[in-house]
Amino acid sequence: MKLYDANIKALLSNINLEQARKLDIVNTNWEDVGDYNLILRSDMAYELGGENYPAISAMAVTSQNEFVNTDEVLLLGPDLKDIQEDCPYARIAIVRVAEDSLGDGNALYNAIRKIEYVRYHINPKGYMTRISAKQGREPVRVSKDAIEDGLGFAQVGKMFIDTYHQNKNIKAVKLIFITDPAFDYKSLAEQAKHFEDITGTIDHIFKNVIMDCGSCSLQNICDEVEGLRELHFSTMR
Amino acid sequence: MIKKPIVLAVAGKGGVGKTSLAAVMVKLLVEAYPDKKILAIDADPAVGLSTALGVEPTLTLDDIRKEAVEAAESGNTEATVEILGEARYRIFDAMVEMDGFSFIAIGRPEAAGCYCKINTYLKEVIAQVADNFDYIVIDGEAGIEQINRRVMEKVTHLILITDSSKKGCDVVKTIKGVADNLVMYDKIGVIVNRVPSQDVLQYMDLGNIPLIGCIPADENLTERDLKGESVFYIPDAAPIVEGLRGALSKMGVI
Repeated sequence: MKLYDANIKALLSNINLEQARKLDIVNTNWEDVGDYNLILRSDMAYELGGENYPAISAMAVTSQNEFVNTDEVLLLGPDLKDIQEDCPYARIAIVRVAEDSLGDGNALYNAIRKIEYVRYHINPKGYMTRISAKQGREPVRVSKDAIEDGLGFAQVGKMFIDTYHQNKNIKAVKLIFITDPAFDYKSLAEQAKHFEDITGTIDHIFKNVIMDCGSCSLQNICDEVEGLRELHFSTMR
Repeated sequence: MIKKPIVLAVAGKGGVGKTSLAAVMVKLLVEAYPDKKILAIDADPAVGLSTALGVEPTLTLDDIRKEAVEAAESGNTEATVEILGEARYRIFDAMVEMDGFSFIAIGRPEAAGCYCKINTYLKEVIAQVADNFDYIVIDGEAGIEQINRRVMEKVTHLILITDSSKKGCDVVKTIKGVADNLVMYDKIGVIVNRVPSQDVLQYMDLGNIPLIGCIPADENLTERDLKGESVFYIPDAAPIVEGLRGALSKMGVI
């Protein structure tokens, strides 16, 4: 799985991970409340990515240890207890899977989407995510009670990582939360879109096996991403 | 935290004052339970509850439904799945959060054809979101079957509204008959609204539906309607507020 590797490398090089804090997720637990996670404005402390702030999520899959060596949760910017009002927000998940474990063809696309859809199944108490794939946004409402009870990104991150590991193909996850107001969210949003474009192109390839590349709107993605063209022509053989 | 909300649905013949009473019901619940989560659902395509509550919704559930139907019709399965998968988040875009209560409008079912699966799914989403609330007030179309089909299967308190007309009485009896067959309520009661005098009650046939309230025509409401004001401005001593408070008390709601 090298489809996202060049972009992962570019993304990680744009984030100053030396300034990020590695959060302790050992012995960290928090209640998952499933569907009972409504946070109204009156109960809300603030919204990560609220109003007109960026609310970015990015997910990419790799098989390279150099990108994801072990499970880790990193934070760039203030933690939940130190945030006072709505602020910009990003969540990046780089997921390492066993080489060739995701299959090919539609199975590959579905396996990647399945990893991405983990975010729909995580409901930490007092942390209400509002995902919009269409708008490419993932703002989060955080409740006053959760802050008082000590919720932080360590607990949220641990819940994400535990849920990812329910998928036996996943070996390790690097989860990066960003709340630093000075961070370049615009560039990150472009990179996140690029990840999504790669996933979309995989789907496109397998749905449109015989086609003229010259007339394809996704040709630039295919040209740019190592492995996509190979994937495409392997399906035509 | 598994608790079921108290769901009050208001139904009855058109023009008997259902929407005004549903709005005053929200006002009374907000005043009685300032710490509870209260949701007002406008399930009437005429969307009158929003005006009565002073709310201006910009998105309805049917707008979300329409997006899913359009995606399905264009053959874009992934987009359809995505829209439906995120419907529970989109509902929050359609939900207007006011001081003390939240509001959501179902909207008009404009798309032609049968989209039972989408309707069923969205109904499940509404139920899922609604489970997060303590009290829900549904202002429905004339009959309970529309509420059942489009909004929610389980109503705990069915509040039927009629005026003193024979037709109004017949409609509430019919609604009760349908509701009995659907086995979809715990408590039921009828409010006679805009009664010219208490004397007319003796001539009204309400079947075996318990009478929980009798409210005279209220000029406070007429004035509010004229000004287009929220029912929250109606004085507490107004007949409609007093009458409805008594009715809800009889049902054990407040």
